[in-house]
Amino acid sequence: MQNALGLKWLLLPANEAVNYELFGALFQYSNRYGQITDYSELFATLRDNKVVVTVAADIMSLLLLKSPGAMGADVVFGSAQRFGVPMGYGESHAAFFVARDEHKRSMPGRIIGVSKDTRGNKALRMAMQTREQHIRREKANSNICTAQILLANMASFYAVFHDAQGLKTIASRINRLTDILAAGLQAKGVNLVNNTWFDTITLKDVDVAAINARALAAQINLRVDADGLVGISLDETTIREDIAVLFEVILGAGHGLDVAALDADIVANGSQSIPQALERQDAVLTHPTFNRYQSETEMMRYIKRLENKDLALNHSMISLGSCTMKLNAAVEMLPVSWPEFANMHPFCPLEQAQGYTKLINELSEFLVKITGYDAVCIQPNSGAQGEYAGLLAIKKYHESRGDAHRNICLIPQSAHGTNPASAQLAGMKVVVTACDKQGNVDLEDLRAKASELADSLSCIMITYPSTHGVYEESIREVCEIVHQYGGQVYLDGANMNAQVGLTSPGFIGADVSHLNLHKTFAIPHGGGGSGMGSIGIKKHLAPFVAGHVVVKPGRESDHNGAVSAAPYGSASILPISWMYIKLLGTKGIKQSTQTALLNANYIMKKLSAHYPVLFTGRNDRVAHECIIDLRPLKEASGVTEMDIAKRLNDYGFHAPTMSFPVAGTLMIEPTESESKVELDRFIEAMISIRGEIAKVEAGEWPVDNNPLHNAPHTLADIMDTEFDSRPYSREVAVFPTAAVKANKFWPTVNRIDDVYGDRNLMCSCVPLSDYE
Amino acid sequence: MTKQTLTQLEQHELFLTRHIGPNAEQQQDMLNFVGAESLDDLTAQTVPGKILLPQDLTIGDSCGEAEGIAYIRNIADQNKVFKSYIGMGYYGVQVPNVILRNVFENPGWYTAYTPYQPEIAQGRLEAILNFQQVSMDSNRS
Repeated sequence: MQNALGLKWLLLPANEAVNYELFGALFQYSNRYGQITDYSELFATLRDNKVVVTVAADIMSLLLLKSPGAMGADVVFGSAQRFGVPMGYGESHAAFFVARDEHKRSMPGRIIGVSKDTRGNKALRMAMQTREQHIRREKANSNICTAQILLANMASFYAVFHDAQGLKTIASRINRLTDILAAGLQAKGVNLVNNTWFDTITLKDVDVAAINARALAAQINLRVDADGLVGISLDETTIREDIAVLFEVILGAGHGLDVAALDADIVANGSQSIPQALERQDAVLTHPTFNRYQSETEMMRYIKRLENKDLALNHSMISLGSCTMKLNAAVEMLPVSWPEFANMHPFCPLEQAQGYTKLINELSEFLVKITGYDAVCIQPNSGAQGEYAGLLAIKKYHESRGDAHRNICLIPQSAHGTNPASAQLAGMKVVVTACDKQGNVDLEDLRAKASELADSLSCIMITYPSTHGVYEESIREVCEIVHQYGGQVYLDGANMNAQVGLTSPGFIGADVSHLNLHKTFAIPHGGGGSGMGSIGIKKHLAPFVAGHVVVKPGRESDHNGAVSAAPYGSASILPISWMYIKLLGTKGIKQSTQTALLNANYIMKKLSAHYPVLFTGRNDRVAHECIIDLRPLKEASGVTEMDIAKRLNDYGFHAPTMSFPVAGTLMIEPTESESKVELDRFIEAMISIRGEIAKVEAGEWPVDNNPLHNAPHTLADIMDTEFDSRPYSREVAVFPTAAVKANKFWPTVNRIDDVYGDRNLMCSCVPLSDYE
Repeated sequence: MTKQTLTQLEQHELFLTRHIGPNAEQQQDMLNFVGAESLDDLTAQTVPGKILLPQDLTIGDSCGEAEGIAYIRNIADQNKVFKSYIGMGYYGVQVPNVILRNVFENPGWYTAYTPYQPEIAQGRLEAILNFQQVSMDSNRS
């Protein structure tokens, strides 16, 4: 078999891996039956043969088991869901991904690293950010952007709260209950596939249908997807009474087993479920952070202490262009916590998930109408995954017509960096097309390239309104040109907040788009994820969207591969978008878009008297965001876009998107949810900052010692007696306007040294002394 | 006595006005400032005519929060929560309530953006660093 990148893969028994010439090998630990195996020797042989060894592992089991790293693995990954994040009928959950030191610079995604600020204090930030949208297009080896920060944080707090000992106790309880279950069943003559386990046993030679019928009658789901086998995985919620029920379900009434007696027997005689060689010997979570918040009072205060350091929408507008930081209404969020949505397993029988099915169908219908497409595939978990899924659909469509050679993806210069990375991952070749001085797609260049490459043209990826924040007049022609030469149009839905109810990708003439449900449709950004990147498609592409191997809701596309582990991706957060659309209705979604335009044009016009606006469309209007050009100011004053971004922190604002899509600019997207009062407060801050720049320009403040250059200002700054030597007052530093004084947000560190952090990459917890 | 009808008093569009930041008066001020008569006028000035939808979508009427919750409560009730032993990467959990209430259901945590501005994001950066520590600790030799 071969994937889109051309990597071939073989499915083999683990011990046969050494018989092939491999680039890499992937092992599961535990395996699908629950068996745990010591692979140390095998891994050593493979590594001698320069095979990169990757292991998919279960994080809970690792508290008791020898770590994959100790066995010699290069890369280990897995889900952190069972560290305190509900199943949610699929996702959203965080994954962990760790690698040996030699691989760290080729790891995809985000890494938090330790650096220092201008006062020399420890400070954290995302390391090696060049892997993101600023990546050199031909270098992209991943299109990952959205992370699962909210869920990673929940898992992280779960570990902090329970501490190493508490986690070991939970893991040991799960393992003990599994031992008891296995011992009881074996005593009654039930045969198991596996003779080692952490939390999973697989029964063989049993009457699967009868057992499953009794299970369902007891409102229990067992794993019955493999012929003649019954899988049972226990977890943190399993209690001794559950084991007694399982005995009844599997053995029938009158089995005579007693959980307490079985436990006493295991305590007395020991257990072989985890062989001695696989028992974890080394300590985990020895850092003091994992050993000081076990009382709820301490935990509550730790969470609050961290929360206080962060600026979120509950403090002020976050006008990040292209990110659509709109209101995530409380009422939209409520259902996510309900057990009927939170506690559903994604592979439960469909008849138990009628609510989810209805929700997904209704949401899909809403999105079909909003996008003007014929169908929606909910599955992709992020915008980037949506792009990948959409491009795969295009690729398969071409293949189905005997056009497998069509592999060129045209991408305008103004595109988001994720586009070319996705094309690369889908096995396409990227050809960049030019933009004119106004930032619009250069139609002549597009036509020339499309015609020249007509035989191999697969598609174009284009964002609308453009990343420059204007409604390009020529979008219809762009679609026509690409179609004329046999290509498909992927319209990136990042800017859907400027389309909903006014126009649509389907109406414009595109074939497929992803929707960032976490931008346009009110799913919160979670501090950096989760997200959802469901795609809309025209009819002819519908047979080629992602399917799923376990859950088959009877779609045409079920034979297609999945792009996400769960059939409906982050299903648990879909109620948010459903609520958003349902509550706003036809009138509300249109008015939201129109107000987003109004807010953006209001800011643009107010600021245009003070800063040059880079791009405008017809009638000098912008779409839902605007870009202000700081390059002339930088030239004249030496004040950089970074200085302005950090100075906005002093004013209590998150900076707009910096240097995207054009270096030296700020892209401002207010969304419809910000009131005029908040917009005016932001405008006041920007104008006040412009006044500060003027003082630098005029020479009143030196270029290297002024409130912009030294921003952001911390309490440590103004408590410092050396502050007296600065050419501006403490008042100017931290209370530059009355509004700021009334509602001050204090950045907790000074400006962070990125270069230092990247050169000295450190991504583990720092010694506690650094916090004190 | 008010001359409003009962339908008006029921405020079916109340949520809409909660979601959209500027109220009617503020919107009018802003429209005056940018030089448009109405939202539709601003739209016509901004969006190319040939891609404007000829008619409104048919999503349905706006509804209130209580009504919306009632709808989705009905949908939720159609899910049957069984005890799951399926495994395959998804397990039942006990979310510590201190985390449920103070993180998962707290806009201070869920409405922040990716920590592109680290000086105002040290809290979640520390939490993620802890996550990295958990990941490395549990997997290393």
